[in-house]
Amino acid sequence: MKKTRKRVVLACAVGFSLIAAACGDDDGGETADTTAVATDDTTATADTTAPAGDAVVVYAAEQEYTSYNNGAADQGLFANTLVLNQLLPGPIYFNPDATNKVYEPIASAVNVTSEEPFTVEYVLNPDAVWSDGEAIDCDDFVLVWRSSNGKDGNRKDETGAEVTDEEGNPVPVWNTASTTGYELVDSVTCSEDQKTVTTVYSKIFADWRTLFGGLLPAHVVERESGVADLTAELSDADLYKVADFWNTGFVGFTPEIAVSGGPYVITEFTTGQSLTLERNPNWWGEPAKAAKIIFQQVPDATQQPAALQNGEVDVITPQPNVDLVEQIKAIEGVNVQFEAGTVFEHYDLNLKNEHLKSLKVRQAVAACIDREEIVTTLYRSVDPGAQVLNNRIFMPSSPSYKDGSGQFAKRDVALAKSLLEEDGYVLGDDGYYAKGGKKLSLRLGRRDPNPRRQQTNELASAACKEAGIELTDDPAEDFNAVRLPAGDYDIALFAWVASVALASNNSIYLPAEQGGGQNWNGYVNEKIVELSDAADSELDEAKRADIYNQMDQIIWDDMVTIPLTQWTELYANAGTVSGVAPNSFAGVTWNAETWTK
Amino acid sequence: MTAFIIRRLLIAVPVLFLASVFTFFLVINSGDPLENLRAKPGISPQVIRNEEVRLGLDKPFVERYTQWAGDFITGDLGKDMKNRPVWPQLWSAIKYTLRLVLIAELIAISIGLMIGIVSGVRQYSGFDYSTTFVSFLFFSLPVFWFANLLKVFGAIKFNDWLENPGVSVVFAVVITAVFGGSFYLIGRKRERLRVAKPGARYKWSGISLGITALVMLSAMFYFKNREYGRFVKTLGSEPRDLSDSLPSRLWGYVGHGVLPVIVLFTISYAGYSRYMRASMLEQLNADHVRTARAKGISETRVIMRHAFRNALIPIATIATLSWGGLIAGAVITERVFAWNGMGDFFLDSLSNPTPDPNRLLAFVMITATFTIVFNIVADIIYAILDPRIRVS
Repeated sequence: MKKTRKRVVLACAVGFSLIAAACGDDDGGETADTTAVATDDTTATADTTAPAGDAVVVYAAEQEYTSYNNGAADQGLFANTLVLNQLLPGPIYFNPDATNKVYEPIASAVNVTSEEPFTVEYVLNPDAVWSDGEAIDCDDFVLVWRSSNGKDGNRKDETGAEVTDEEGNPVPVWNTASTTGYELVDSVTCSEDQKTVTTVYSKIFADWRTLFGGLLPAHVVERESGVADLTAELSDADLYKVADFWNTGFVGFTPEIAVSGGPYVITEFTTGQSLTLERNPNWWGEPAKAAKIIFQQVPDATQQPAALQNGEVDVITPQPNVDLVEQIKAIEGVNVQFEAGTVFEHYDLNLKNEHLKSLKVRQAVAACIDREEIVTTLYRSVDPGAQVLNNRIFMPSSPSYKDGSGQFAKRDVALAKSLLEEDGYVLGDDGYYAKGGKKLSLRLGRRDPNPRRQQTNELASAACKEAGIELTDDPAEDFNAVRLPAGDYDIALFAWVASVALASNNSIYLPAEQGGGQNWNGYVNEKIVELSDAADSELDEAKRADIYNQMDQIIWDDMVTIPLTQWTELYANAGTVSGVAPNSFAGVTWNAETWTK
Repeated sequence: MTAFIIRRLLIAVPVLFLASVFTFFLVINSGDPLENLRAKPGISPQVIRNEEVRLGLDKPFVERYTQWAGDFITGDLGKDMKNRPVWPQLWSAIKYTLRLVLIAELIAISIGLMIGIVSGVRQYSGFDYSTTFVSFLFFSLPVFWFANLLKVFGAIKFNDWLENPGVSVVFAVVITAVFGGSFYLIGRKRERLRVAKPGARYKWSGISLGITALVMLSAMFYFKNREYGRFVKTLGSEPRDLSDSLPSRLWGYVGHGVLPVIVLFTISYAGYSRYMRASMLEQLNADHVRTARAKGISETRVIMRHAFRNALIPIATIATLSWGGLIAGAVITERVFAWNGMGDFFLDSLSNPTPDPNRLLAFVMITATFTIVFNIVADIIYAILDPRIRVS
């Protein structure tokens, strides 16, 4: 018996390994638990001698799989990630607690061979092959790099002039969603045997492990586009042929195109019904336990419990709410796990506001909001283990999690009042503080409709009334899409997604002109800039985590955002299934090769 | 006739045009399809702009509409926002919806008409009262609730029972007694009304008693130790494993279809039986029926030839019009049973996460066309049933 870890193929590099802002709406789902991967023990041991069983495990998929190429701007979807987790190989995998390791079936060694210039060398497993028998090798890395580095720019015609569409806009060669990290890779060089890949960066990129996560089959692209070797110097015409296929050829399911480099391969796909994974006949690693994993489409989450009870699906991961959880718990023999996910709610204080530009006012707001009460009322009804979150970078399941809340850990009305009075605020007859004739009244912006955020705001508003701060609910349908990016709010309630790519935090907390594309509240602190520069070139993971915790502490001290709690994820399965474990980064199918029943 | 159809089809063109303009206007003005993409970090403005161009968000309404209409006329329904072609998705949705709706409607029409005729002919009889009660009960059932109830009792509990089928002796005796007893009563009543020969009550109750007892005995002994699997499904429109043998595949289709068909049947049946009853009553009280009876024509002939045929005229309108609408799918039923038909296609297109113009337009065009076609069909059936009407 050997202890095996599970891998996470970051197939959806954009969709979710990065911090996704203002993460949609949460449909009033409920949240949070800190027990993280305690359940992993039941599954962590894999018997290498176990004979391959003929079990069929069915997963209830809410959204339908649409494309093999999750990196294309128009095709990235979490539903695809759930399928591709088992198909597209990557040299590094991430555990549910955000730690990582080299994934042996793909790479036998991954090393930083030089810091100047920053060079990473991948030695690939000689046995690694795609399900059609072609080797998984260097050209697959080159394809990812070429398609994602943004260097091919826009299309040109024979004369060298930029091709434009009828609107006069340039047409990009590759329709890539994100170039983060890849734009720093200057070259990808292949060894003679194609099994060693050397990547050279223009500067140190500390999140290099998040790159090359979902390799696509380069030989398929070559075959379908009619370009013999895409690693070679390509003429524009050939480049466009390759890119055209990459942009559109992976949509849907075609067996010859959707070859697999993982334990499973797609064998059947019926639009609107189901998708079937069967064991990859050419898989060189430990064989997957279940003969088939089926993604049965169940668009309506409220119908999933009945299907689970009727034995039609074995694993469900609906957005939890009180009714649904009760319904699921009532099923005989069911196995329910809650996981505090990577999506967390927080209040974002706008420093451009005349009141909030003062630190003491921000601290007073943080002191008067009763985070504990919000979690108890709105989140523990679903998951009794829900906890207040006290870090913006690391989630409690991560070994790097550190609580920096200090005196703001608990609600303190007296502290809030004294902070305001120190700042020159005077309590008026109406029970609210005011300064210079201006009442301390702030709007709590949120997306509408969203019952849970509405209730959160109501609780915050009631709690702060006692401290003499007026908070009013400020719902807007286009809040996340329009008002948030425009900085048109006093205090905003929305969610961020914690990510394994730590550098993605830079875009939130750095000043806007220094890469803070999502720094909408006007937060500027030179120390944050220094720390993020230091973190970007720090290759030691422990030291880097430490730097990010220092950053979080500074944000606590400046009190520009107030983290509340994480969204709860629900993982339920019929008791007959074993091996299902939560993973908020990659989705439940991250270890589907160990599921069985 | 041909001229009539052509004229009606020509009228359909402006209707479709207006429907498409209206829908297009509403759809493209609701929500920002790129909301999620915009919110992601590391997405360059270039990528956003390219997506805007791909989806045509930067163009004015008229230009986008013309573009779409041009494609539509040449038979191209375009691609959805996830870059998948719309037609295959729509086609699969149509197939699933037709399969569900056709079966349910055919059963509902045949049973609904039969029951409607009988309750019309036997107005204020026990049969009439009980079918009226059942119709109104079905009519007022909230679909969502009923479907979920069916899932619990018709699928989960029934499958549990099938896993270890068998009936207790008490249950078997009670059921047998109930069936035998009720047929005895019916037989006696018919004897009194002199529509059945004397002694019919013994024959009737004897036969029903025997059949029930046989079913119960076989349930108790023969079917007990068989493997059924969990036969009734709560989700999906077809069995997943299509490589099975034909009989087991057919069996699988039945297992998937039975619950949604029951739900749809229940809703439609109530309407048909009520309309048929009312229409039948009207005809039976009409002068020509009285005349026919006075002429001494047999009662069967009076009912079938003189009353029933005329009673069908309003039903033809109702049925064809509702059929035209049925292609739009049964939204709730399809959603609850994860049946990927038109209703589900429509819901999905509405929140995808924002309304998807090409999908919605395709949906509206198809359903509008069907409604128009069935309207024409209704008129033609009218003419066939009622010779006084000339279609020209």
